[in-house]
Amino acid sequence: MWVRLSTLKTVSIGGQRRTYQQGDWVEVGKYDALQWLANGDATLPDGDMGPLVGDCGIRVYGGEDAPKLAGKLPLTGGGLALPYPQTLLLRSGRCIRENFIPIGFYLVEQWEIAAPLYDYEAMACTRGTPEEQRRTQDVIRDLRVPTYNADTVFVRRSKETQEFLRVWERELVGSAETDLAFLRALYIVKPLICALPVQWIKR
Amino acid sequence: MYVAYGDAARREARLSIASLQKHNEGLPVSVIGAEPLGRIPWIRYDLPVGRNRLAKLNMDSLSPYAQTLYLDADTRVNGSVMAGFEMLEDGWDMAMALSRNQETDWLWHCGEDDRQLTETRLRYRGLQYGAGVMFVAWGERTRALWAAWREEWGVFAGQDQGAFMRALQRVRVRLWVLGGTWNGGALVTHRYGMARAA
Repeated sequence: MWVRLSTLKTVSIGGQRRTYQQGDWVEVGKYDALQWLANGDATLPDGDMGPLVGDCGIRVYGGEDAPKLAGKLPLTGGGLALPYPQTLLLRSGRCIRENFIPIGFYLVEQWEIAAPLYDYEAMACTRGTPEEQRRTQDVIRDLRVPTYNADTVFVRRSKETQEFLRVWERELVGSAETDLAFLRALYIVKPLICALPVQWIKR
Repeated sequence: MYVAYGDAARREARLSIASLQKHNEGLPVSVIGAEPLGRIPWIRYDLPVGRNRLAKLNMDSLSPYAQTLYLDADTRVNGSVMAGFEMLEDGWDMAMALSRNQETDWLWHCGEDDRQLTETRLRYRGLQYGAGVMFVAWGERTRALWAAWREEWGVFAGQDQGAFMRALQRVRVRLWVLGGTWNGGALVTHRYGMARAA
């Protein structure tokens, strides 16, 4: 369980003791986490959403299972589309840590797209079928790269990102792996994308 | 491109260049330093002691290659790196690998001031990239990024990764993210710190 420390702590992880500072993120067992939360020694990642910038909203795609958010934000459902100048494309049933949402929208004021990585270790060569890997390698040249988590993508609406969405939809045809289709579309269109930490996703 | 100042870095650079050339025949190599390194094309750049990092941070003007692969002297190349150049050819401004240090290990090697400034500026703990292996296509965006990187590095004049993150926030480039195999993994191993050893 990930928590953010409100105070300095020495933590034993994998048999190694290490001191973490106030503000550090630490993944610890549920018991420790709950105790620290109760003592006020740590906070959960999902605090208030905080102030939002720009004209933004959420587009839930691939189903109708909308996220339950404490903060208020315009939300529509349907296919992959950019109904707002700044849109969080959220796959139905998926969640993002709510306190990161304003930061994501802040980032796409500057970048065209911002999306978290799927994993730091699992590379594209470990995702999808051999056939889809070949299809991906033909486009991106080398599969020893991380994939993005395409379930949660912040997008600023522009000519280039509209084109990105069109290519992503095309790449999804005959594809069982959304993240690899996303990677191919990225490589083809090359938008200005800000890669975000894995930790942004609620698992 | 390599940067090599001091005996340890020069020894490491020789070994790294040999490993690169073994698997990447014909790839031109140059080294930035205060003295020549054998027959390897030398770019002279005199720097005060302890300011060697400025060589990497001035690569935009020092590198003779329009598409440059920068490698730390303490890396060893175990295979073809040509895919990285193909990515640049395809239109990416840069390709670089993630650092192994993310989240709880985020910028652990930087000073507390550096960490704090970086988190405050970014508003979150951004991805940390490994700046010891970088493919760069020199253009308006990447030159502007290097200029911002120099400025940001000048704030603390220590490690360069926090400065890189702050610079990337100021100047956005088309950056293709590589996996760990490209820096500190099977393709490019990294003997971290060996170029600084006595």
